[in-house]
Order: sequence, then structure tokens, then C-alpha cells
Amino acid sequence: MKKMMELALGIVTSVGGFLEIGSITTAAQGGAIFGFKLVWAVLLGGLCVAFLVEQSGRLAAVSGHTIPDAIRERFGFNYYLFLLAVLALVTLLVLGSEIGGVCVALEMATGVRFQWWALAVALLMWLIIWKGTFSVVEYGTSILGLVTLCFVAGAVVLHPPWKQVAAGAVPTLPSHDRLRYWFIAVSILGASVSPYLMFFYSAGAVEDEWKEDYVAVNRFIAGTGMGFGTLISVAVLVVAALVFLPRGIQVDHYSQLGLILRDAFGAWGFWLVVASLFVACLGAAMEVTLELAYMVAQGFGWNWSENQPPKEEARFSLTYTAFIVLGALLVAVGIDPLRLTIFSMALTAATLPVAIVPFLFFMNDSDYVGEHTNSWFSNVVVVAIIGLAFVLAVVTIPLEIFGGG
Amino acid sequence: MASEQHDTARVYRGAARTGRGRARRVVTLFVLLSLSGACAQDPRKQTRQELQTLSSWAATLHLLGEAWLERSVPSRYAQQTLHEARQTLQEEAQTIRQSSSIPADARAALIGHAQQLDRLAGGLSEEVQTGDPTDTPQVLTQVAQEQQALADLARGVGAR
Amino acid sequence: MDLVRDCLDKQLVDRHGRRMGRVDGIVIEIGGDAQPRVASVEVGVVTQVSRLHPRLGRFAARLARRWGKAAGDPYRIPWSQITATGVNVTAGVEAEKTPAFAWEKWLRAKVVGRIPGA
Repeated sequence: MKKMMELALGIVTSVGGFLEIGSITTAAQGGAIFGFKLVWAVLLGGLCVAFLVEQSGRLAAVSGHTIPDAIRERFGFNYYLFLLAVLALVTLLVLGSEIGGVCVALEMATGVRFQWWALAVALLMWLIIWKGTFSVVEYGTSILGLVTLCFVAGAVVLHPPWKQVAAGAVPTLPSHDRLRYWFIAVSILGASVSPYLMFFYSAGAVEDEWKEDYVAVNRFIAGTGMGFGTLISVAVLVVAALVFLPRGIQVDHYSQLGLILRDAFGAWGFWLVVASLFVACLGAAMEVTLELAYMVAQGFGWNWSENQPPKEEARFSLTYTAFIVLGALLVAVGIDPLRLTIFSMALTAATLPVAIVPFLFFMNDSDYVGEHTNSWFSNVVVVAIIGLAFVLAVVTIPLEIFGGG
Repeated sequence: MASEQHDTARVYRGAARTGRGRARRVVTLFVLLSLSGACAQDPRKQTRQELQTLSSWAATLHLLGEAWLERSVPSRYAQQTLHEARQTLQEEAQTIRQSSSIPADARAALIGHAQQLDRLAGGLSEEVQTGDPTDTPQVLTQVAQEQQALADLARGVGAR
Repeated sequence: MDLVRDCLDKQLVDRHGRRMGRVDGIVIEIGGDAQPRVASVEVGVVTQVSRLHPRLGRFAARLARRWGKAAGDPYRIPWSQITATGVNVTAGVEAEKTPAFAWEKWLRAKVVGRIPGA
């Protein structure tokens, strides 16, 4: 019974917590400019992240160790520090984007410019994390996050040509704007397969005290949760393709997102977008914040947990406080949230190899996962993802210069 | 013996250096080539890009105006988005004016459209501010005319 | 036991299971004709930095000596008090009373303790 409950909660968490500013904007841009052509990128991203999340959950359930733990132990202090530096930098930009997303939602609702909201949002996040427990952050935001299902409803209401949507699952080259096409494809992949998600998932499994008998539960949650989550991303792309593409609206500015559900729901549409953006980004911002602090605390062996009062873990709680301040500053100085998002998603894609290669080692290390080591099939998938990640890393930088502009 | 070892080491290091030098030259060449590719942009391509941006904002104005007319979006949001649109359109006009790769006649036409759209956005903005939608349908018709004109231009340069 | 695989970089917990850092270094004594002997494990920033580069480590050690707060860095725990139990390495000490917790205690007293709701 308890497990069924946890199963349900886990799926809700993955579904309600799936959308964030990165997946919303990259999918919306892809749909607005290239119609259903980029459905494959969303699906591929979802497939990769389901595999990686399942593995990080399995690692945590069997060994009681998170990914940063295992990286420090198996690859030593120097590699850990290198990875920390790279990931913390990129993840901080992601945090700025998420905080920016919350602020954009507030700007849409009130007409007050986004940067004025940065400090208020930071304070709200900090209070929730400071006073709340892990369950509050995880379940609270993801149950509210189910509002993002409105995109799925929107896509269904608009009666898309399902055959064409399905055809988008097979990659094809567009006749125009090829650079932009690849740039958005890379950003979509970066938005779905982000290391913070896998690291956070493994820390969550430890916080929720998963044990070895959770291996099956974990597999089911990772598969279904990420599967349904990916469907919401596809829905955003479909809605954008139906509402923006025929009119020729490219998503060049975040304020245009407010119109995306108008055709589907009229006056409700606007408020659904605002609510989705607010909840999804707030949830993601808190998860990213915690993940940054986990990554530091776990690598250095400090006491960490979102379930203890801050004074029991001064270093951990001050670390997340500092990251919230830095993330909010990125928004407060007025960096355009849309540009920051697109940039940080592409950069995330570029850093994937350093974060994923270690998987191959400890998922085959029986000291960690006991008898639950990777099957040959999972290993092939991880190798394929690493290959893809290397290609992404190599192409991202030139695309960053030429495709984004 | 010692000096021999020393020599070998130096030769080895020298070889490594040439190898690295060559790699660096290749990278530099690649960067230079791609940069020059970016600078010497195809004039039609840049015209097309500017046209896309203008059309995108024209369509945004139209959709936003419609949504505001039927009270689907709050006035504060409409106001803020119109402000954003005007700012972008003004910047766009400036970019087009300074662009050397767009032919002069196309430049003049594009700037004209950017300014006209900016004016229309200003008109919408005033109506949103006063809350009086009487003239809005008329402004929207003008926006639609602009959209049509931009689409015709786009067909001329072979976009989409 | 394989020192690098089973001890180095592992999570160090005190006798109550409280996380107190990681095994940043292992000290081995080599002297005279005696067999090399594992003397202690080290915890601390100075050890971490020396692993990046020995020269950086010497620099950090000088800084730590000059700055009273970090005087106990690196903190050495005698090998006799160490038990490596698979996932974690347990030290038979009281974490709160060791220099490994100097920073934690200082931050708790000076910063976190002063914020309401902590």
C-alpha cells in the first residue's frame, strides 16, 4: 500500500515537475518556426533522460549514494572539483533562467517588469527551502505543477493533424534556416537531458530513503513519469505549431508566450500560461537550487538534507542561500530571460559528456549497485547517449555563435 | 648517455610542438573561415531574416489586438507586450538602417514597414491605455495590410 | 583492504553516524627498516588543495597557519580509530568536537544561528 502511494506520488512528481522554462521555450520556439519537424528532438531527449534517471535512481536506491558521491569516490577529488566547477557554472545559469521564468509569469500577470520581481521570488524560494522539508518542495510544487497538463488539453482541443505530428518523430531537414533548426534541436535536447535533473533525482531517492527493494518502483516511476512529462513538452510544441506557425509568430520574446493558449481556451488560456509558467519555474528553481547545494555538500562530505533544520547543517544551508542570491542577481540586472534560457540550455548540452561518462563506470560496479548492474542493452544506450552528447558538445559552440542570432 | 637522452627528449618535445602548432593553425583557419562566412552574409538571407522578424511582430500585434478586443488578456499584459513590440521594432529599424548587406531599395522598404508597425503598435497602446476599443478593429485591419505587404516582399526574396 | 578504493574519498562519519567530511588523504609512515604503516587519515581543505597541486597545497598550508580559524587544517585521525565499513568510513570520534567541524560551528554561531527560523 505504502509503495503504491509512493508510486503514484513519484509519477505525479515526474509529470508535474517535468516542464520548466527551458522545455517550454525551446519546444515553443521549435513548434513556432519548424512546425512538427522537431518532435523527434523532444522524444529523443525524453528517452535519454528516462534511461539516465532510472540509472541514477537505481544507484541511489541500492547503494544509498548519489551521483556526486560516487563521482568523488570513484574518480577522486580533482575530477569531482572539475565537474563541480563546470556544472555549477552552467546550472547557475539554468537557475537564473528558472527564476527569470517565475518573474516573467509575474510580469505577465501584473505588468510590472520582470527584474523587479527577482528579489521577491528569491525570498519566496528561500523561505520555502529554509522552513520546508524535502516533501514540501518536491510534492508541493509538482502537484501544483499538474496545471501544466493544460498544454496537453490545449493540443487536443485544437485538433492537430495527428499524422503529421507522428511524422515529426522521424528527423527530417527543413528547407530553410538549417542552422537555426540544429540550434533549437540542441537546445531542446539540453533542456530535457540536464544533469541537474538526474543528480536531483538521485538525491531525492536518498532523501526519501529508498532501499534496494525500490529498484522496480524506480524503474516504473522513471519510465512512466518521464514518458508523460515528455508528452507535455510535445504538447507545447504542437500548440506552438498550430497557433504561432500559421501566423508567422516566432517566439522572439517571452511575452509572446502569453498568447499561446488563446486559441484553445480564450480568456482562460492566458491565466493557464501564467500559472503554468509560475509553478513550473518556481518548482524547477527550487530543485536546481537544492541540487547545486547537494552537489557541493555531497562532494565535500558535509552534512546535507533538506529535512533537517538549517542550523544542523550550516554549510549546506548557506550554500543554497548563496546560490539563490547569485541566481536572482542574474535576473535582477535585467538579462533577458529568454536569451538566458536558450543560452544555458545549449550550454547544458555541451557539458553533458563530463556528467554522463561516469555513469558507465558505477552502473557496472557491483560495489555500488550489487546485482543490479546495467544490462548490456542499458550500457549500449548509455554509450549511445555519450556519443550523442559528444556530438552535441562539439556542435554547440559554433551553433551558439551562428544559429542563435 | 645523459646528453643523448636529453636530445631525444628535446626532439620528441619539438615534434609534439609542431603537431600542436598544426592543429592550432587548422582551428584558426576554421574559425576565420566560419567568421568570414558569417560576416559576408548572403544579402537575400539577411533581408529574409529581417522580414521574418518584422512579420513575427506584425502577427503578434494582430493576435494581441484580437485577444485584447475579446478581453482574453488583461490590459496590463497587452500594454507591456506592446511596449516590448515597439522597442523591438525601433531597434529593428536601426539594425536595418545600419546593415550594409541589404540592398538600398529593400532597406528603405523594410524601414518603412518597421516604422509603420511601430506607429500602429503606438495606436493600439493608446487604446489599451484609455480602455476604448472603438478604433481597434480599424488598426487591426491596417496591421493585417502590413502583414500582407511583408508576405509579398518575402515572396520576392524567395522566403518559405 | 585496498586503501585507494575502499578508504580514500569515502564519506567519513563520526561514531554517531554524523557526516563529518570525506577522507581527503591517507598518511603512510615510512621509516627505517620497518614496514610502511598507515598512520592516519586527513580531512581538510589543505589536503584537498594539495591534491590539485603540491605547490598550491603548501601555499594553502601557509595561509591556514597564519589564519587562526583554520589552524587545525588538515585534521588527522589516527588509523586506530578508523573502521572502513563498505559504503562509509567510520571514525570513533565526536564530530562536533573535532577541527573538521570548525567551519560548521563557526557558521552556525555567527551566521545561521542569527537568522530567525533556523
